[in-house]
Amino acid sequence: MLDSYIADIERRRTELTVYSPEDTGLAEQLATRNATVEHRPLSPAGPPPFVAVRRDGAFVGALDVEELRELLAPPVVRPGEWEGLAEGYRALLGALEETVFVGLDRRQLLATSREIEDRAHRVGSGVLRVCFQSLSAFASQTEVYRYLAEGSDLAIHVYGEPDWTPPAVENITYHRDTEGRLAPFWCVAFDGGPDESQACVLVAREREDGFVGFWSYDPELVSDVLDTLETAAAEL
Amino acid sequence: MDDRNRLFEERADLEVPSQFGDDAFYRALAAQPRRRVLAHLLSREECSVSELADVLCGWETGEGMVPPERHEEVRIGLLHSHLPRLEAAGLVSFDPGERTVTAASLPEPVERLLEYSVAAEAE
Repeated sequence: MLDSYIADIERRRTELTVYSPEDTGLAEQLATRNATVEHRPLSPAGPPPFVAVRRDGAFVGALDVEELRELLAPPVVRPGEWEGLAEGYRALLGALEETVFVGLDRRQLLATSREIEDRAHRVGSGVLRVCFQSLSAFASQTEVYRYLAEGSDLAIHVYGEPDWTPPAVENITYHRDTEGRLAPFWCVAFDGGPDESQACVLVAREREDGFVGFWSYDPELVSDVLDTLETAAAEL
Repeated sequence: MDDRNRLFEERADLEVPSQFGDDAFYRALAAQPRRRVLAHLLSREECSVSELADVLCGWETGEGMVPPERHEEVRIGLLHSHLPRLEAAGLVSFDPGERTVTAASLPEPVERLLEYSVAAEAE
């Protein structure tokens, strides 16, 4: 059911055009990301080496090669840290980050989920929908979510196959996915509360070789995923 | 003294393009974006308007990331102001349909002047 969202992100293109007199090594640095890198020569009678970034053909930003290297160097600016960045940089990082990942394991997904949960905690209000595949997978997260939920204005919805009975917690609604329709999916979606710039979503599907999926900060996309899950809740 | 006189003495034999006598030619050069465009075309011969917009924006990356609005402003300036002027002065040929720009073959003094112009910016 959430597969179409993954397919849509898979179709999007990020293109970097590197303008420099010589090879910058950026193609190698970006090899693990779903971005194409094209090099165009720049004569000495030109600006210092720079990169033009495009997303689905539209220009997203241009910056110094060195500045781009800093943005990409570990520790990579993680989505949870984007708030302090100017709007333009978020769009640029989005073009680099909002691509499909493959082969992530549960531990890595948990780390990214944590960032979205932290964001929801900081904002303190809004809707957070989480698919844990099974409610027993939620067991280890119960205290985290209790902390998140109690005393906040968050409306938290937890989905999973009913192989365990979770405790009742203020502000948490459980949705028992008896037929396992959402079982292949790990999903965390937060609407940002009063501030849609805080919206974010992680959607992943479990495959034999790990999880495939994406994360996004596009408020419309986040809203669509939340609507899909809300409808699913009514049908479970 | 001898060097300066040499040009005038050789004037009869020297074929100087007539554009050097036109104000339009000098006006075309009297704008930094246009000089930057011509400097880029020294090594590229032909390229897209999109690439020229990228390169002009590239000159501004020293102050931080150049956003889409600025790129669009630059692109429109190229299409509606700079490229038509450069073409009218015989310095480029511009295909509006294909959105490609081709450098005219420039006399050596003009190439040298463009290189000076860019080098002066770097200081």
